[in-house]
Amino acid sequence: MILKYSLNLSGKRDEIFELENFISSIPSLSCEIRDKLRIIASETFDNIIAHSEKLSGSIHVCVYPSPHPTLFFLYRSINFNILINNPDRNIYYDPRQNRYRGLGISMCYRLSQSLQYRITRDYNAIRFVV
Amino acid sequence: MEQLQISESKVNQGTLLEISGTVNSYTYTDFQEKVYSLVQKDNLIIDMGKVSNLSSAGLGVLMSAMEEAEEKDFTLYILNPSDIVKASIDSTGFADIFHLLSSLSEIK
Repeated sequence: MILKYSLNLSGKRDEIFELENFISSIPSLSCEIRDKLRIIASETFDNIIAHSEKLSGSIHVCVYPSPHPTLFFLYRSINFNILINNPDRNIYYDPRQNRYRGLGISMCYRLSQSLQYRITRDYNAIRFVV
Repeated sequence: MEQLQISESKVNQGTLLEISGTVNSYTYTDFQEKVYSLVQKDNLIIDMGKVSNLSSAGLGVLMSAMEEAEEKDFTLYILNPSDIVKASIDSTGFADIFHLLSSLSEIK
């Protein structure tokens, strides 16, 4: 039997705490894998909240601890491509926020062994294997 | 909810900020305000031993603050980074620009 841990979020920014706590509470993960999942999950959630247009329904998050630790996001929006073809993947300074930006997606790529995504008419799916 | 906690003290090497909790997109503005105000005046040592997440928002603040410090001839150090802080910094691909310390005595 494949173990699976799931969480549904409604898409509010402060749910990032719930997401971080969810990842931390999953048993049988090494500290290294848990840290990577926590970083990737929070970055992905931030990007979904910040960039999705017409986000509807819940954001479904699943973690499969084994055999290969996997993080899965499933949600509905009309502009999933922006996460994949992010034109701002380069790091740049944003004077409005007075900080460097563009780090998050690069971090997710570097922390993952593989990344798969799927767009259908009904939903977007992102799967990270760490 | 895991709040960000920040405490400030003076040490011989500069100003010490002890951070605990998560530095994410929701909490980073408090972190940003404190770091930017202090890095203009003194060397800044940020103890991140009790940080449970460091997101790209927090990293972006650290990178900008390091430049602000350089401009004023100060240095921003990161003391005792937790494992997740190390992972976060490593994942940027340019960990070499960060001044990481395991002890205050490493500051010359």
